[in-house]
Amino acid sequence: MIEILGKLHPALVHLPIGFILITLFYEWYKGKPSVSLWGVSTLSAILAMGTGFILLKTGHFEGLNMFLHMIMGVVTTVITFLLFLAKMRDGSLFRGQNTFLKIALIVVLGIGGHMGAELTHGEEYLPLPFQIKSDSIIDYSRHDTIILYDDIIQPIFKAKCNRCHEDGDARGKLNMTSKEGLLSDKFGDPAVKPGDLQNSEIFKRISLSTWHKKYMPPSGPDLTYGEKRVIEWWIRSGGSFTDNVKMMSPPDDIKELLFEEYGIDFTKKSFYEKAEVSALDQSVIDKIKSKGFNIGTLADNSNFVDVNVKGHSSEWTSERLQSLLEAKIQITWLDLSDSDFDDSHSNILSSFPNITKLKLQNTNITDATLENIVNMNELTVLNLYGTNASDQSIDNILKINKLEKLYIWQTKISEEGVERLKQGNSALEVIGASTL
Amino acid sequence: MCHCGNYEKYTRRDFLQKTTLGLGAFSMASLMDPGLMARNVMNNIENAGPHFAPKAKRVIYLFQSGGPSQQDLFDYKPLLNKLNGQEIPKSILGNQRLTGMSGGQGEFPLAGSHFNFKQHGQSGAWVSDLMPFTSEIVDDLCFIKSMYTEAINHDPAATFIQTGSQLPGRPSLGAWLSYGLGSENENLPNFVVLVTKDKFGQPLYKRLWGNGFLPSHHQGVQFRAGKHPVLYLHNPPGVEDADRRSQLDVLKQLEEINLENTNDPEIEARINQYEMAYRMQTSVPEVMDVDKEPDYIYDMYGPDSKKPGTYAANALLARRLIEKGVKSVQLYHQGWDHHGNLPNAIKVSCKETDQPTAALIKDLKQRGLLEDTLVVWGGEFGRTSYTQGQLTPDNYGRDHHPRCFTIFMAGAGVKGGFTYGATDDFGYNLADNPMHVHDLQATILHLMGLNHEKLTYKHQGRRYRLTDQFGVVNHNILT
Repeated sequence: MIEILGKLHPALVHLPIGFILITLFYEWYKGKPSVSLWGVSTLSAILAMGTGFILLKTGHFEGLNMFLHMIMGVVTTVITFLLFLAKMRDGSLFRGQNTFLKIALIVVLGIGGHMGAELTHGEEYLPLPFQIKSDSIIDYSRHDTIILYDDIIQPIFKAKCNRCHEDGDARGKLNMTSKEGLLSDKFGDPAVKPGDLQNSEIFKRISLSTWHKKYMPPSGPDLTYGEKRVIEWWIRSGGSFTDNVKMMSPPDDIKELLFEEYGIDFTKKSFYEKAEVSALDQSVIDKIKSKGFNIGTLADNSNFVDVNVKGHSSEWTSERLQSLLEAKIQITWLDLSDSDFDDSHSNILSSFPNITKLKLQNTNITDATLENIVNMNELTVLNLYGTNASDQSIDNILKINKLEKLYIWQTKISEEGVERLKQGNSALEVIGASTL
Repeated sequence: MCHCGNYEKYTRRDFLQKTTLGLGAFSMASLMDPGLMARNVMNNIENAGPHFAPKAKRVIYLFQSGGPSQQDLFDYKPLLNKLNGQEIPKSILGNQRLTGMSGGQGEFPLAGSHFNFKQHGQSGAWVSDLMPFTSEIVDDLCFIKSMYTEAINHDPAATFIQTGSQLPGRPSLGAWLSYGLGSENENLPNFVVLVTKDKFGQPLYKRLWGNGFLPSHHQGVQFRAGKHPVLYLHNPPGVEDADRRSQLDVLKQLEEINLENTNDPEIEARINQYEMAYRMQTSVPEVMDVDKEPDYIYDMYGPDSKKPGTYAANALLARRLIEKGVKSVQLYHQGWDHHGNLPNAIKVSCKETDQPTAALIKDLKQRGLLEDTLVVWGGEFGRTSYTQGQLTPDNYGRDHHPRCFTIFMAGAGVKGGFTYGATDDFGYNLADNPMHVHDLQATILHLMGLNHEKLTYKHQGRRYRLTDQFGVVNHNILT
């Protein structure tokens, strides 16, 4: 029963705020005080203070902010009472301090009220223009740099829980902003018991039915399904405060959630998605285009380029090919297929270190051309279909460690050669060997 | 003095927007310069993509018009054979919308498939013996058995899966791809449509490959079988090539005067299209000339492949177009709408399409083109597990069923030998991992390097997407 009185505190505090402001305004406007108004202000202040103490007693509050708020409340009541006494004595009391007391009252009332509002609505309830958000932006693209607790779990708490469970105001004696607070068991079960979901109070509370009176958070936005699942996984897998996401090797369903909620991508990344090169100058792009090539960046966040021959058929001159050298670092996909490209131009290929996909199908090249690709350390796909490549190139092809796919339909590479390729590089997929 | 052209350059809406948004003098400057107006005010940027590194650079969409029966092809449901002839349980039927064709039936007896299913390949995918050639390549295919749509009849359902809206007027998938990614070959259209000749059934209409409100050079261009693949492309008798060239040059001069005055982007599109048509006079006969294809290729695609206009011949052409850098090729094959006499009719559809489809995928693979070409096979919806009309020992039919259907994809960026999603034991409701039409569209765009939420076009005051306001990329099926 007495708890209800405590819960009235957030409503009743508005009475003294209102009365005190009215009283001060009346006195300034009329030029003389009203004893009865000061009396009502004092009464309402005492009422607010009283219910505040009850709330403090029954609500398990802790923290510096709460203590300061209490002091402000008490000081407000005391000053109001002193001013009431002064007015009752017809101004004979505190004649010299009258103005000072009134100013002090306004300041204390303002600060105390603001702190109360922060306790009730959270620290960010009043978005002031000069408050700078200090949150750093997390780069979710590299999962070995994402600390699960720091970068994912604590931000969830910050958004959904810390408003009531923070340093200055730890309701239920729970401070969720620190490791110590989360692991502390001074008030029943600890919030987080690493590895033990059943006895971790946080998980119990967030997974109750939403109408349950112990459900958390009691107001404000609920935790999303994904957030609950990630917290569950974190506690279950040991509740580490230091491990990064990659070390924790999440199961597939969590990977999916981490991707959907945070964009953490666990799929294997290609060279051109990881490496960075400088951007090509527009004049170089225009020049290459004017030589009969299509050229475009792979993506709007990448400077690598994809080059192919316009219409896939054209007369070759060394001069046209030379234009590509200005983009030799940026070219990662090169498609010269169905063109008159042949051995005589092929030494140019040794100049492109970053090619990952090379298409030479239906050109007149022979083994001589493949001498020039052995240094393409990033090459993963090589298409030789419809060329004169033969078994003589196999040693050269095997020098390309990262090669994943090799297309050899209608070449002179024999079945024996295919065997040698497979033995030399077990990760290599050879396509078009004989019948598919 | 004639002012007639002037007030068409900007609409009242543009005027109000520009002047009321507080940009005052700045906006007046653009009002004074109609060039800025026509091109920039809409914020529509062509070839803005790719947004991220693409897995696929081209797409071949094999559209099976009419709605193939998943229960007879890929979605194996032995329970239907066990309960053949029994009424579908009320709990399964639910109160889903039925068509007027079978909705009035007194009873809804389940119909088991008449065709034998076997598991194929290392992946063990179930395929019926209607599809002997497709069953050979299942390890390259990604089946989605949990597709669902919102429309229950052909017109809205086909329009929905091709343009993202049941209502006509939106750009088609191929048009969006052309708008977002541009062209690699200026001698051929970026989006080519091939319709199987002499097939009947549900009508196909140009809006399925239309450009909607996108600039009109993005629309699909239909190539026909026979002497004139593109209508009106050839010079009429007596007109020499040089005559045509000089005529086009004069026409271009006139159009440019008009463009200067009105700044209508459609005039620019028209000039470009005349120029492309001129270039296509040589490029199209070249790409359509299949005589040099060796016999083993014709053997692969099957006996129909030598008859122009068949699905098989079109599949072969699709490969040739892709080789020339055409971004999207869309095949349409009618005749999958088997309301009655399904056991006989579906055999015909499968015979016409099974071998060419499998051959196309194999052919692309051996040439290394499947590496960056996406192939999609599917219709606009599925078919019911209960029979439409009389169920006899040797006959049954199936009505339209939007709640679930099967499609498959192959190639760039999708998992091979993979099956996603599942229907219930009756093949009537979704049981696992549903995939909406908008999800499919979002995923196709994703594979092409486009973010379906970023690929927009502002029209009539709002930005439109292929996926409207919906669609989630399905990462489960991606490699």
